[in-house]
Amino acid sequence: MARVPSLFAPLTLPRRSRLDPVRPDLRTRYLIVLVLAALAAGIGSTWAVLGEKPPVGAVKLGPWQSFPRLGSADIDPYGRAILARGPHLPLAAGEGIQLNAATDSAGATLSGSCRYRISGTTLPSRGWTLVVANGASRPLTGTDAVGLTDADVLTDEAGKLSITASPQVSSGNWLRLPQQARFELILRFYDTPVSSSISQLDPAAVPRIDRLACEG
Amino acid sequence: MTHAALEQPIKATPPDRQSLSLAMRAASQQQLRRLMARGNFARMLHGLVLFLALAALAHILTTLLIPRYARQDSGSLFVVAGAEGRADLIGTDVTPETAIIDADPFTAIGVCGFDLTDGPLRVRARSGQLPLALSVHVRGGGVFYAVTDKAAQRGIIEFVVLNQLQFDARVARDDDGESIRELRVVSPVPQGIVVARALVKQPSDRQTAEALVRGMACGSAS
Repeated sequence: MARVPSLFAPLTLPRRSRLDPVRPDLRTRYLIVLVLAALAAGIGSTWAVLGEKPPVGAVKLGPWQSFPRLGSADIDPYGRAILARGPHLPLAAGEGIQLNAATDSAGATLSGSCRYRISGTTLPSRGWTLVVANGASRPLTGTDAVGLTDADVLTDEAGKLSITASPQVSSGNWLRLPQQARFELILRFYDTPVSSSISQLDPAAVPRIDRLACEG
Repeated sequence: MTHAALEQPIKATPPDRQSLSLAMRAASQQQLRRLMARGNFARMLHGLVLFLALAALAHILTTLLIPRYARQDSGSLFVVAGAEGRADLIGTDVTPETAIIDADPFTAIGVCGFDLTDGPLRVRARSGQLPLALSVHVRGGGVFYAVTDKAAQRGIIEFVVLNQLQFDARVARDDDGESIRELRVVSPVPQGIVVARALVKQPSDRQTAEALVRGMACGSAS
């Protein structure tokens, strides 16, 4: 009599002896490793992408960079995840504009061993502040805290400013830089009418950052 | 003899069985190797696609889930602020856990938390000499409303934060034809914070700015 093959034959496991430990076959092990590696890569890439600034949504204005969507209702998932990782209070879209610069106008990284001139025009606003932050975009606090407001700075007849940023004292408008390798500048304009049209702004509408000299 | 020998038909010697079997085995092995190479490539491609799809899925899921389960965002940390009916002053010099990471040292910041499941929230602030702005941040990140003191009427900025159901109930309660004298802001989520930010242009402005943001009143609007 011919044997009728069972319908469940493909699902039945081979019989194992008691002494034979249950080990997944090569294909199952390959799948487990693949899934674990993919999960690690996915979570690792999320961790790498969620730094201090979102990977998308940047608006470039000369050496300055802004992320206007961080302070709006249509914030992207990356921005939302970055804000969720620590107490942040970004400027709302109708409240003002925040610009960050990690490089000068020539594209070189800002360094505490150099002197810079920050010059040009500023956006129309009810006030602005210029703050020195560390390499992770966090404003320096305590005795290291440095910055200027529009009330501290003298402008020429055309309303253009010229600030010397250096670790050593300088005449005129001076922004003290910390003696450290890297820093960032954060420029905020409060109650500016251009906050909703920042992507259409001309880079000449914001100050330039020019390197004057470096030590060593 | 030579002629006769040449006239004899040439007989092809049949390959012996062993060499034939060796040749066939070589050919089949080559074919098998080719098939295996093709199979390996297909398997590698399949594995790569599966890896990329799973990694992308894990990336998207973690990015979307971080705000949902975060407890360190401002909306979660300050949700109980302003319980006394006045904004609590926060800034860079408070405890490191609640210090705003990117706060402007030239501003004074006051915060009121809200939970709309307890009812709508009425926010009222008085404008002053220093630039002042109020903004509503939701838990998990995002700002859905902001107003500056330019919008103040008789020196007062006032609005009501409520959810869609509360808004509908309020609209149904409104008398027809009567002008409504309150600004209603519908929040997409039940929890969040209202932030008052005043600019401190000079060190001597600090106390005035702090008094301005502390003066923001947040109370029930039921």
